[in-house]
Order: sequence, then structure tokens, then C-alpha cells
Amino acid sequence: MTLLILFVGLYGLVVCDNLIRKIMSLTVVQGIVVMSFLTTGFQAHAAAPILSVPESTFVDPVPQALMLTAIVIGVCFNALALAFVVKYFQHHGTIEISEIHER
Amino acid sequence: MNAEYLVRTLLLFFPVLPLLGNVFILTAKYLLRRDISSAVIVAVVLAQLASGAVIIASFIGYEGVFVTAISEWDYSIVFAFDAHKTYFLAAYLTPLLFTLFRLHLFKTQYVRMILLFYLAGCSGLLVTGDVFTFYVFYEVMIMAAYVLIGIKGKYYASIKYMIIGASSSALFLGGVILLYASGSYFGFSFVDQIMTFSEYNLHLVLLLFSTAFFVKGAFFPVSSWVSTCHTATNSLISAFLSAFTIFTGIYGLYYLVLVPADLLGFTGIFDFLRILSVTTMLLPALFLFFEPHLKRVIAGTTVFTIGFIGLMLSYRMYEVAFTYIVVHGLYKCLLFLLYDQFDYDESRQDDLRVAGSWKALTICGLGVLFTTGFFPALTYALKYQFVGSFGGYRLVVYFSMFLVLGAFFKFRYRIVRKKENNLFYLTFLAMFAIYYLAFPYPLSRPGIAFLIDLAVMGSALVFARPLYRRLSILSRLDTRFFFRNLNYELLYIVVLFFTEMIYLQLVVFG
Repeated sequence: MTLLILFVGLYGLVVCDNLIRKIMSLTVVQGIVVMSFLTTGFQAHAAAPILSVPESTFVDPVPQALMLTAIVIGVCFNALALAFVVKYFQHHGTIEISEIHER
Repeated sequence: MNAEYLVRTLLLFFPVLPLLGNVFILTAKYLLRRDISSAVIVAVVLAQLASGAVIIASFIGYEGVFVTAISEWDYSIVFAFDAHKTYFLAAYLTPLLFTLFRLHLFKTQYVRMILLFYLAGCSGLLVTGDVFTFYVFYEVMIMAAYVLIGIKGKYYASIKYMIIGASSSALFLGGVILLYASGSYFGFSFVDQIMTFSEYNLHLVLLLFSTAFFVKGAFFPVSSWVSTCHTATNSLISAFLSAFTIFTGIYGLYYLVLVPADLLGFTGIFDFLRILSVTTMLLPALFLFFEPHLKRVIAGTTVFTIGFIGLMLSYRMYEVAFTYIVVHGLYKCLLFLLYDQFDYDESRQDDLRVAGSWKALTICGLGVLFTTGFFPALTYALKYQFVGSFGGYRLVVYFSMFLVLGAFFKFRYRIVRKKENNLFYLTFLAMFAIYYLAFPYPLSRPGIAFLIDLAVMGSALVFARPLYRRLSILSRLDTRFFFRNLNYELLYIVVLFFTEMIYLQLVVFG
């Protein structure tokens, strides 16, 4: 399933001509990377990593802590990228890559 | 207080200084209603220059590693610094010094604050000792760079940089996950910890890391974004991007791919890097020759340099390669900052006429010659250090040198009167002198090698412009052959990943 979603994201990233779709595809790729990391720390029937809870087995808290950072970075990226796309559209009236001349 | 304690403290505070600067700016803005951002930037730059000089001086003749963990927890943030990092620190300090001359390019307080965030990201990247903090600082640096690239209204360059940067970061994060899944360890010396784990997993970690750094370091075929993104902003940020940010790809490649690959005996990665480096030297240099925009030509020479540095790294000539990065940083700052002094009409790109003062043009000319490794530049000594050991690459080096020199010589230069800042030129001359004294590479007496260089320069001088005019149909070659198109560049990332995977499968696992 992970691989399928990854390929959907990659396909969109490479093939989509629209900049917003491209950014959304990149978000899908980033999302699946985050999901994969979270699953490395998963344990069935284990408690959340809160020390006050009287449980003997906890899920690994490291992937969760780290992926929280990655999610924040991802959100910043999306906000910034979409803001630039809006600005570009206001100036040039298009967000289709085939219509954008780099010079 | 002993010297080691001082250096450890400086290393911890090095990335914090620009962030503290931002705290001061905001405090003054909301409490005193005053804009102190320019003064704060000057203070931060001076403090970082002084701390950087102390750190570099303390590593002269010292081969050890300073490791400082924030806490005693296994996954604590770790700062580490070794002698090889001093080269990257020097490459960072060079454009930082010239910030003092170009502060007026940052018009508003918010842009100046973003510059401080950018400096914090760069500094953090230098002192980090674990893979995840590397990722975080890299993102801080690159997020600020995205905004700084867009400040002149060229939003597409910024978007392109974002998409390519985020794609490579996703690959890098994939490697981090696999690394954690393999050995639950993030330190730069991860190989020592997970030697006992599956060779296949380690191979995949290195594959993901190397592809990420090939993209971040602008190796061919994912290199055309450099001339689009590095030229969209003001000349100081262009200098920072070309002298330091792009080389963080090389920095990551060395610490997280080449050193572990060497320890594990994965020599296939070095062979692949060699092939990639030769193509990175030749093809982007060819595109450069047919590039009509001067600033893009300056940016494009970085890709040629990356190819040459990659070639040196593939033969494990680490110190020569890192010295080349430092010296190249100075020449790149020189060229980008002098670009501001020229009268060059960007809208008439086929006119190819550049006007500047005699001082600016002469020094720019020297910068061009020195970038390509002409006598008596330090790059000349470094180039022949490599070519002397691996003579088979002479033809590649000379041909790409001809193309890069030709890319500059096809322009027509004219002298005009201009008011100039002599302190700016004196600073450059002082930096040249410091580098000659700092790097003990002997400049052998000019012999046959010098004559060959002279012949290459002469032929570029004579043939570049007629050749460019006669083959004007090939102008903007990279655009014609889909190398400067975001969709294709993203496809090349996927192609690069799978090509390397297939190559390594064939070499490592037979």
C-alpha cells in the first residue's frame, strides 16, 4: 500500500503540469515518508509513550518526536510554495509549467 | 577557562547567534519602536567571523573530533566538529565577510530577519553531528533561501528551487528512516553502530542519501536549476548560494555517503560518482558556452566546479577537493559581487556587451581565469595536484576549461568611468593573500602545464565568439534539450535514483 501511494505521488510530481497539483503530489510523497517512519516505532497493544501511564510496553517515541518536526517543516513548505504560486499567478496569469518561460 | 572549553562553547553558540539577533530585532521593534536590524546583522556577522576564525585556528594541526551532546539521552542533539569541517566553515565565512559590503541590498527589516534565519541554518549545518539535526538545519537554511530567492519578484525560480529541494529532502528523509529502522542510531558515525545489520539495508541507505546529495549538489542531469535559481536574487545571496549552500550537497555526500561507503567497502559508489562527475564537468560546460546571459554563466561555472570536485572526491583526494571549495567560494563571491558593478542589459541577452570600470573588468577577468585554474591561482596548484596523479583526465579538464573560458570570452567588454569602493577590492586582495598563506599547496614554476593552459586560454579567446555566433542556433542549448524544464528535471531525479540502484546492484551484488 505504501509503495502504491508513493508511486501515485511520484507520478503526479513528474507528470502534472499544474504547479498546485505538483505541490500536492509532493505533499503525498512527504506524507508517505512520515507514515513509514511512524510505522517503524509501532507496536501492537502498546501504550502511548507517556511516563505517568502505568504500562510496561510503550510504542517507540523517537519516530513520533522526529516526524512532528518533519510535519512542521512540510507545513511551512506547503504554505510558502502555495504563496509563491499565488504571487506567480497574479503576475503572469498562469501556473501551467508548459506555459512558463524561464527567461 | 581552557582553549577546548572555549571552542566547544563557540561551537554551541555559533548557530544561536543569528537567532539571538532576530530576538533583539523583534524586541527593539515592539518595545522601542526602532529598527535595529542593520546594526544587528553587522554585529552577528562580526561575531560569527571572529568565532569562525577562532574555531579554524584551534583545528590547525588537530586531527580529533569535538563532540558535544545537548543532554545524556541516546537521541540527544549532537554537535560535532572535525578538521574537515573547517574547510566548509571557511567557505561559509567568505560570503559572510562580504555581507558587510552589500547590506544595502536588503531593503526591509523582514528580509534582513530572513537573512539571519538563513545564516542560522548555514551555521547549524556546519556544527551538527547527527543526521536528523542535519535535516532540520538544512531545511531552516533552504526555507530562508526560498524566500530570499523570491525577493526580486522572480517567483518561478523560487518555486522551482522549492520543488527540487523538497524532492531531494524526501529522499534524504527516506534514508533517515531506513537508518533508524536498521540500527536506531542517527550520529554521523552511524556505520560503526550498524555494521552488524543487513548489508542490503545499508546499501539502500547510502543509495537514498547519495541520490539526495547528488540533487542538492547539482550533479548532472539535475543541474540546470542552478542557473535559474542562483541568478534570480541579489548578488550577495547568489554568492552565498554558489559559494556555500550548493556545497552542502558535497558536505553531506562526504560525511553521510563517502566516508561510510569507504568503511563498508562499497566502492561502487565511488565509481558511479566518477562517471557522474565527468558528465557534470562536460555537459553543463557545453550548455554554458551557449548561454547568452552573463549572470547565468557565472552561476553555471559552479556546476563545472562541482563536477571537478566530485572527480577528486571519487579518488579520495578529500583535502584537495575541500581546499578547492574554499578557494572557489572566494572567486565566486568576486564574480557575483562584481556583476553589480557592470552595466549589462538583461533584456537584450543576444547583444553580449558588458560595460564596467577598468578595475572591475580586470579583477573580474582574473576571477574568471582563477575559477578555471589558471596560473598563479591556488586552483592551478590544486588542479595539477589532481591531474598530476590521474593524467587520463587531462582532456576532460582542458576541454571543459576551454568551454568555461569561452563562455566568458564570447562577451564584448567595454571600459566606462565609475565610482568604486576601494575597500571592497582591498578586502578581496587580503583574502587572496590569506588563502595563499593558509593552504600549503606549492605553485610549481610554470612549465609545460602552464603552456597548455595558455594555449587553451588563447584558443578560447580567439574562437569563442566566432564559434558562438556561427552556432547561434544552439543558443540556450539546455532549454532546447529539456534540461531546463521542471517536469524533466524531476524525471531525471527518478532516473538518477534507478540508474544508480541498477549500477550498484550490478557492481556490489554482481
